[in-house]
Amino acid sequence: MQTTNDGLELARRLLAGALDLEEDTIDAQAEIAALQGFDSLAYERLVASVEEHLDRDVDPLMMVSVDTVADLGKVLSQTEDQNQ
Amino acid sequence: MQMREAGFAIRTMSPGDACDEYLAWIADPELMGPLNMPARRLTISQLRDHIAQFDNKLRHLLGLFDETAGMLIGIVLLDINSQHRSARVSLFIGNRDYWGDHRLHPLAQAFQAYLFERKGIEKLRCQVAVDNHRMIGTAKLMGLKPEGLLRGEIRSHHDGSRIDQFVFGLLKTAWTKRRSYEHADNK
Repeated sequence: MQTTNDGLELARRLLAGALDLEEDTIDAQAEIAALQGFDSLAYERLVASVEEHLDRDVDPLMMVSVDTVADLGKVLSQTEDQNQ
Repeated sequence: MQMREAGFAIRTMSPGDACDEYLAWIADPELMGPLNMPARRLTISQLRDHIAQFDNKLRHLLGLFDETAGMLIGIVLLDINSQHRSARVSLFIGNRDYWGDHRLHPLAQAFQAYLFERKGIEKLRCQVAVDNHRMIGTAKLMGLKPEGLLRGEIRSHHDGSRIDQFVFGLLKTAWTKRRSYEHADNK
């Protein structure tokens, strides 16, 4: 079972890759759209990396409602639980 | 309508702005697909006629220009509902070299300021197909928030299936509040 912390660490890792940032500079409470390096292509890369990690398409409604880094962490931990 | 910011400009298109680049974008399935528009091969004369269809009072066709390079790089469509002081925006960057180009962000912010402060718009919104992640990213970048899902809102030009769209919106009050936070952070 994934914990919220696992989800948050994973969210940081995926965001760091998509936005070309250092993981430890990504604050959990930060709004993703306000992170340095965020743009339309970065969002596209983020969705692709989430789908690649989960090995399936993500629910668009779930993904679009993600606002903060912590939100993404929660979604990832919940989705991984559903996968198991 | 015209504004300039950081070497880029957005202004009303006139038939004289019809160019080979714009024709190529309209004929490009990769660009038109996410907009659910068929790729079409138009002549320069047909493109001029298309541009001339916009009244540029309630229905605006705007061009995005790189002023330094002296070229059109994208298109913005703006539909204004004057009764409700709302505007619906859609856009695409045709020139791929400018995808994800952060130099365009100041122009996007200036455009929002123009709509809210000078055009009297109180609500900005856009509708995006649920799988158009680039445009969803753009809406989020511009501070628009998802407000709902429109199931089967539009018909696919490709196969006739119904396509879900997200509605994104931004109220002037939320924009003003956000901007005051940003200004405070910058001090």
